[in-house]
Amino acid sequence: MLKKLVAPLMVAAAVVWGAGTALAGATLDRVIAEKKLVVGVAPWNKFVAQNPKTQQFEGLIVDDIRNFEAMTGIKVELVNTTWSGLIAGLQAGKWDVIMSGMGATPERATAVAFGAPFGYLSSTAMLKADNKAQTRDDLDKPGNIITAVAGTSAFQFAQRAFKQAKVNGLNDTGAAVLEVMQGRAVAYIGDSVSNAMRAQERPTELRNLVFAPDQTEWTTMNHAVRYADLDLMVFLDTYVRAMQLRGWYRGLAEKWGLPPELATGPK
Amino acid sequence: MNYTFQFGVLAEYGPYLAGGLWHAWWTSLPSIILTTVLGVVLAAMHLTRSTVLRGIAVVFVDLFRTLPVVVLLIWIHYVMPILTGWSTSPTVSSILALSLNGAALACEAFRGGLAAIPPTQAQAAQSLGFSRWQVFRYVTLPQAAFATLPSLTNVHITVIKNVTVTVLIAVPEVMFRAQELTIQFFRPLEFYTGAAILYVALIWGYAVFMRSLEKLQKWQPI
Repeated sequence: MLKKLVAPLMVAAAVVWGAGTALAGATLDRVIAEKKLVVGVAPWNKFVAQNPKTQQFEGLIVDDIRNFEAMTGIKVELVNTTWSGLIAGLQAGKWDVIMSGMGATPERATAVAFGAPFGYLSSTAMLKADNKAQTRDDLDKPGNIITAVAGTSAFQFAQRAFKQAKVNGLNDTGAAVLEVMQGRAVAYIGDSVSNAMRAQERPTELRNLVFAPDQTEWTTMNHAVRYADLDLMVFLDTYVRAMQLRGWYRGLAEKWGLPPELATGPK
Repeated sequence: MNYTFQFGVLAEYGPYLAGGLWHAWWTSLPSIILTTVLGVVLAAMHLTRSTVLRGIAVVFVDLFRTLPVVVLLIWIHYVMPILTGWSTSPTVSSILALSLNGAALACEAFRGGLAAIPPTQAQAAQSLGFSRWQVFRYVTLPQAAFATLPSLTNVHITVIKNVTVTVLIAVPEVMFRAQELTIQFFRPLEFYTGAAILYVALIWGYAVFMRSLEKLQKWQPI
């Protein structure tokens, strides 16, 4: 019976593969013809988040998207989702591109194609305000627990960087930072911008420890598309590169009170 | 613990959080209706003389009772479009996943209720000329429905609570909004407490409604 299924299954596989190949280029053609781009985003404070009072999306990335709309005449439909659903949604065709500042890593690149970077972030540690640690080595002691959000670049950095402390991956940032505040972990490793903001908002509870340049890792912020849509990425990269040369991202960082290194990267 | 509570954020952002109840309810209600209808159908299939129909019901219940709702949700929302090209919105995907899981549980609740009706009633009805379908429709199901209500209420409450799982695919209900607000304002304990209060209110209100249905009891068991 199994032998009888092989031929039909091979035909089905060929049809699906052929359809996928034929669709290469179809996304960009549709976007340009219909003047509409569906974009997957996930909440990230100061970058892309829905204002609960106005229900409008706001942030550095949203400003960039609105600028892209104005320059190209292509209307962008933002679809709000979760970080864990961004790549799955792209692969399922729920949106054409991810524009949530996702970090390009080799592991993620096996699933999606990343474009040119438009932003840069380093990893820092969030500690309890009364923690006296000054360096990464102060945190990397046996018995110490370090938290990070599982699957993120910061989590991968923590796993590489901390040899003696135990690194725990949690489902979301809130839980990961609460572990630190409740004393179950000594530090939370996250992106430099978000950690700085949280420490500034809660100075009596949290402290942001910036690692020395040779003790941290930088990640980029990129758009991401399906590999079948590389022509769409070429189109988007043209916009990103042009705006970088015009100093657009430096201006956006300044507007949102973010450090200039966000636009320029490490010195 | 070094955490300063600021429940005042609930006063400021509570309306936005509470707005998620609308989406939670309109994901729960269709799921509850589909759960109940499909549960009755599956229970009836269990009672048929057809081996095929009984087999389908058994496989359905065993499959969807054991599959975690999270896995079912991700499969319907992300994997099905890749395999079939049929893509659904987060709300529709959630309703499908919750209904399939809920129907399997509801079927077992109905089977218990139907089994509690003495077989002599069906025999008496058949001796009066009722067909098997008429016996089910007019004699056993009405009585079993009221006998099943407490168990069915539990199934419905499970469906409502499972709506929180839809945060994975960004249905903008209460939990997703609590998560959004936490990301923006980092008050996780306050916002998740607010979410808990809203869900307790929703579920308690539903439980009160179901208990009032139990009191109707038009069909007293003979």
